[in-house]
Amino acid sequence: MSFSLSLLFYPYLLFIAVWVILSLVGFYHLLRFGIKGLGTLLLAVVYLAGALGLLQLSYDYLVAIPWETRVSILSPSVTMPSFEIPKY
Amino acid sequence: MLSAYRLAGPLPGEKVVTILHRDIFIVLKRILLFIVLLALPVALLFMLNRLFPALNQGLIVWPIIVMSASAYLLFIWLLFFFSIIDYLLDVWIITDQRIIDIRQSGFFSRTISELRLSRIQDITSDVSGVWATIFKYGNLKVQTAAQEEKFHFEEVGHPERVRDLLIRLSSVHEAAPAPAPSLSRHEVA
Repeated sequence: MSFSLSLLFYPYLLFIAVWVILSLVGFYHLLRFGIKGLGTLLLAVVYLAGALGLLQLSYDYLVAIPWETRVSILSPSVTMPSFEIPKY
Repeated sequence: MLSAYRLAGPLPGEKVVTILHRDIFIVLKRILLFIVLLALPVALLFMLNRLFPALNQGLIVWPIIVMSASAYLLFIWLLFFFSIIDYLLDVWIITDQRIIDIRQSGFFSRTISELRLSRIQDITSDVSGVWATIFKYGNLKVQTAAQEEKFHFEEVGHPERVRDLLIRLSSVHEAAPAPAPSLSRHEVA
């Protein structure tokens, strides 16, 4: 019995979708109810920059994984073909 | 800053005296906590890599580690964002006529309550704890009628100054002549 490695990716995608929705809720609260000023703008920019940085970092690691590989269960273990891990 | 805040439903002639948030030390404490939480998976991954050098060769283990670390960091970042939003949106507005308490609790809960200065009976400031004493922040409790719940200012900077300000404002309010009761058309008739 085997399954594609990409099957593991779907729960992660679901998490990302929820995370994006909650981030938008946060932005809505900040812009709708926050005091209009430099502090609010700074927080929005810092959050966005940090979030994009984390997403880019995650993408760099995730893209290096061969998601098409099929994993066999109830059979001798296999090892993944070697791949480059991005260096930071 | 005061002019940037639009007072919802202002009373006639009402002026905003000050806007209070929790003390800035509370934000610094949260930032420090989040730095620790962000550094935690990096340290853990470094340690695991030292103990199990072939960790990144695992067919299932490595993708799970990468996705878990990514989800953890994104979640912590979101939590940090909401923590700062919570700080910014928890606000006490003191005007020359009333106190307005605005609280953001969680993602979808927002409470606004107000208290007329003329109804204040007792104000208690409370600074307790090492950090609160060093950084001069604390709580303030405003008591109205005996059965009513107290109005709380939590972790505000210099609570004794805020207490003095409230006492001064409420005494000015008491000294001012009360407006003449207006009669409705029905009562006049």
